[in-house]
Amino acid sequence: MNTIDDRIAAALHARADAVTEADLAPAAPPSSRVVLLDRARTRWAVPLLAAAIVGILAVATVTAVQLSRTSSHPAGPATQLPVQPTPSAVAPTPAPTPTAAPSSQPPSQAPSSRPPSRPTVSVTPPSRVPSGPADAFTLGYQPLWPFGSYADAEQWRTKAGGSQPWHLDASQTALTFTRSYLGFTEINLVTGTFFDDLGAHIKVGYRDPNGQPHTAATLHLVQFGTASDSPWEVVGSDDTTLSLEQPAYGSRVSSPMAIGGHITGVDENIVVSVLASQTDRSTVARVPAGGDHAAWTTGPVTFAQRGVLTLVASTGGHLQQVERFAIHGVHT
Amino acid sequence: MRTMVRNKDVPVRLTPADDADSAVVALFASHRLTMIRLAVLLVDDLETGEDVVQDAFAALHRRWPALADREAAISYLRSCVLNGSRSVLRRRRTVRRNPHPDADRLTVEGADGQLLLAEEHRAVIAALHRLPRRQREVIVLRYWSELTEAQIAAELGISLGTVKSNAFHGRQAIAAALGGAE
Repeated sequence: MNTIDDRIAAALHARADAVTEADLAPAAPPSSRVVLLDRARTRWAVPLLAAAIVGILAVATVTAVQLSRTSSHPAGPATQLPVQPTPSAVAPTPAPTPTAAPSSQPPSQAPSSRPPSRPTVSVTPPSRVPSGPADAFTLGYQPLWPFGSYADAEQWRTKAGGSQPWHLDASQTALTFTRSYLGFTEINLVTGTFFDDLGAHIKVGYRDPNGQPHTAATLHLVQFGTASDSPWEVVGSDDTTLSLEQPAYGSRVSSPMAIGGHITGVDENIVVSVLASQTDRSTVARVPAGGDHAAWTTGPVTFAQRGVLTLVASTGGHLQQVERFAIHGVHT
Repeated sequence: MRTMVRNKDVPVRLTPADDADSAVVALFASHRLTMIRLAVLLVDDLETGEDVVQDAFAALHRRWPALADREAAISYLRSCVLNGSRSVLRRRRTVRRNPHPDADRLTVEGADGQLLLAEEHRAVIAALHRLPRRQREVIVLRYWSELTEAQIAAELGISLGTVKSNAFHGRQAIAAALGGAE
């Protein structure tokens, strides 16, 4: 039993048997619908299919925008949402230079004590069956970073020649977004990863002085395209003890607006920022808050940013400047 | 009607009349876990293994009408998993050649199947993943999939002699990692 052959076989079986049905993410077998769509890409029906998709997307976009005005960051992919009107650079630029322009005003309008219901209208959840690149792609979420549009993502995938390959790694994309785009340089750790049909859920955080890891936020990323090497895109955060719910995820906003959500914590000071890019950003409010799932709001705040906006709420001050944060995508 | 049995799997009965959907659904139910385990041995990562296997089933579904021999379905699936795993490993090498600035600080915490393994098993798995790709595939197909050398040769599209050579060198390397004792 102790020959090297037996030892190798035993080790391989032990490693393989460590994977059980319970460990597997739910997945459906491929269906004819997916295969037919895949074949259609190479046949004469492409123009008809594209026209049909455009029509469906147009109707779905209107529906989604209307629904999103009363909903939070959806748990599942809804329909196509606007992307940044000005394509960003294919690759993110270096460190941000935040400009503080606070105009905090007293809270005047608290969001409801219960989170708004999530939208039930959705296109069929994306199959985990990858296929080749399509002429058009519906992300299903508000793309925030690093790509402003599907065209940008495809440009990187097809022409960048493998530069900045961290775009293929959801964890590294999440960490770079946090540190470079948001400017939270104290967040330097990925504390957990989870992948499902909705994309990647990456926990980013830090270690306390005792070496214990803490999660500051769980970022939600999706692949911007259907190819296996499509890059990852940050689309929001999975909020728990600090949430951003107002205005609704993906909604159209204008200045002034009230930003709010819920928080569980003691003696917190929520810093609220609006980002249109790494350099076009401002801190719009600082809100004292605390309690158990307590509502917080900035009241009406003004902002000058335009286009796709990333709203950021962060708290800290106990162990480091930023210990928890949440992000939200809206557009003007 | 023929019966195909793969390893420790539940037998799947297929007939020429089986359409792609029902046949692939049956194979998916009975072989997904086995294929994911194979992929995990090759890429050492559950999430990636799941993706590789999902790709493999999608390819099988597309290929189903053209499969002359339905008994080859399992072999085709296994080949897709092997190919998909190679692509993943190739992509990883590209990423490692261009490390992210924060790569050294990037730490992934969480449950890891390897933590549950005995020390010797961990050493074997670590040695397995240091092997060249071809040797690793031969070792996994021989010691876990329990294929014969002829079957491995057919699966990988290499000669019997190459299989024997890779198995020998892979086995030697793992033995050396374990201290050379047999």
